[in-house]
Amino acid sequence: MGLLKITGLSKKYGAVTVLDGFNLDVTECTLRCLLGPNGAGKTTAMDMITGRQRADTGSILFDGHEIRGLREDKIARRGIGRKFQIPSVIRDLTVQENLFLAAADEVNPLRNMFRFGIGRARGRIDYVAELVGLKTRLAAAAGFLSHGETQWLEIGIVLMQDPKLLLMDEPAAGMTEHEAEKTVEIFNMLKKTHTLLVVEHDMAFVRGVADAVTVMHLGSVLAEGTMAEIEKNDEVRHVYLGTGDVADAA
Amino acid sequence: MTSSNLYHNSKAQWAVYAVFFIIVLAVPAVIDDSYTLNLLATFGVFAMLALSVSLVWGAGGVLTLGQGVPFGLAAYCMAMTMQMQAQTPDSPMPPFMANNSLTQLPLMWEPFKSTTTGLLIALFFPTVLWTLFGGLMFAARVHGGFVAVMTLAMLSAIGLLVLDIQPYTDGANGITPPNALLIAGHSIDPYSPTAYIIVAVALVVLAALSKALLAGKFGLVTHAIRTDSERTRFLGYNVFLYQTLLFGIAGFIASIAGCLFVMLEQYVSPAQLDVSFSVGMVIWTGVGGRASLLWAMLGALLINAGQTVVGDTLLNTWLLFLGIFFILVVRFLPKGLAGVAEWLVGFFLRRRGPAQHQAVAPAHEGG
Repeated sequence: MGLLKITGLSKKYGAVTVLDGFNLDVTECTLRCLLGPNGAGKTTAMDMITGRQRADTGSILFDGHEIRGLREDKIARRGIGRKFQIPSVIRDLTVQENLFLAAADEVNPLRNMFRFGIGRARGRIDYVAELVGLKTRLAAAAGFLSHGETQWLEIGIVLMQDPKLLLMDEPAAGMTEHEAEKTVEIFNMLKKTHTLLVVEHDMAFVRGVADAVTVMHLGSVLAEGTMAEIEKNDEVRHVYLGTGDVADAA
Repeated sequence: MTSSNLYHNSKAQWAVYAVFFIIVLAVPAVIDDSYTLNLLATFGVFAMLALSVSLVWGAGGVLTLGQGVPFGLAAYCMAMTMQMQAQTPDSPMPPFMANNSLTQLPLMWEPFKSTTTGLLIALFFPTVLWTLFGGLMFAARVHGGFVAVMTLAMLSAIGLLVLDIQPYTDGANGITPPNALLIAGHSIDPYSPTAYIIVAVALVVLAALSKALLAGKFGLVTHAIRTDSERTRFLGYNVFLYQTLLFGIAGFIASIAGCLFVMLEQYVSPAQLDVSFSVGMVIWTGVGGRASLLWAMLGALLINAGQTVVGDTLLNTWLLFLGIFFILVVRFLPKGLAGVAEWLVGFFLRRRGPAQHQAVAPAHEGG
């Protein structure tokens, strides 16, 4: 069953079309990668799913309900978590505070006035910190983390929300080979219980995690399938992978 | 922020606050000069205003230049209440109205015949108005400097309105209730220790509640909104609600300050709605340190004390000095005097004992 079903999503900025009848169907408990050259509309698609931008036309069904046009926090509350392309953690808070902040089981400001201390979020914070390998860094300010650790912290922040669908925008960007391998492990574990949609340029990473791949080009779907199928697709090679002719790629 | 600096330890912070509270409450035991006591109580009101600015600006991250709106409106409502306490069936109308050719008490003055109603209006009408205004801004995701401009515009508009409806407010003369505030048959002499204690208790309670507000999850979310409101939205928090609530709470504190100001001064005029007064609150807060509630209050106390000591000799030159001082603070001490305190505590207490990091994550807000 498709947890997320996008049909005919379009968006224009003046004369520029960024999304053009984009379709996507993400099956529950799978990891789908979204590929495509710069400007293909990957991040825009994520913006629309999470309510950051509004689509002109089309439909976004999440868990059977239309979420297009809902406010960001309402979409997040329905179970969609997002990791941004540029890691966005609160740098002057500690790792623990960042994770506690993301434990948004209670969002009512009046009730949160009377919540002191970590309380019942303790167990989940420890679990998530362990999972993303930051157990020993809980007391460190997020601004002092290495780039890879910052990426993990943001993955941890998304996990704290325990969303049904995790959107990950370039989670392995800037990671060392070793760090990326560890992230592959984390993702392969996550997809047993969660549904993931990942934008990533690192092909080794995609091969390591993807159950299915969607290639975008000029705001719509160019090809869909497993990574093996996609890599054989001539059209995809032509516009994106560019493994053929160098002159062609230029 | 993680550090071994004691300044960031939440228990140490509460201890310092407790010392401040005790000093504030103990003043009447040491000072029995009624003039000084009244002056210090007025400073307490100003500290309350700095506290409210610190909540919105320091904790919430939006600069308000219109904190005088809830303050001034509450002050007017309070003055109207006290004025009506002096009216009798023989003279049902404040004298200035007759001079402005009114023949009967205007409708907007009617509710102030009752002290209880008058006080409730004074506390809640400005708060509700300010919360709605904040809500409109934050619903439209107005942020940063634009909030400053809009609050400033609102302040100017209300200041002009009050000046303009002279028959109802006595315009530039303001309202001078003839008698001290009467509550349940007790007259509260503005120069008495009672008046001081009322202000001191209000200040201590509001400061402690504000500190507690920022120490909990609400404070953590507020911190996140200040740093990255977009990220906070994607975590599922309704940023608008948090911002509006904080803005409203600060408005409520300013309203209480407005009421107490008139209780102490028996006077209100458009000066309380003047732009320079609201900018003054921002200067007190900025010099003290906007990120620290305590230092914002101390900033208000220090600057007003300075103004009292040298202001009379320097007259308008004082404002020039204050302006230069503010520019220097903004340029060289962006955290205000709080930053100096933070540095000093870190410098002198760092080498005591091993540099052991606290096992518990320290408080996320400044002292």
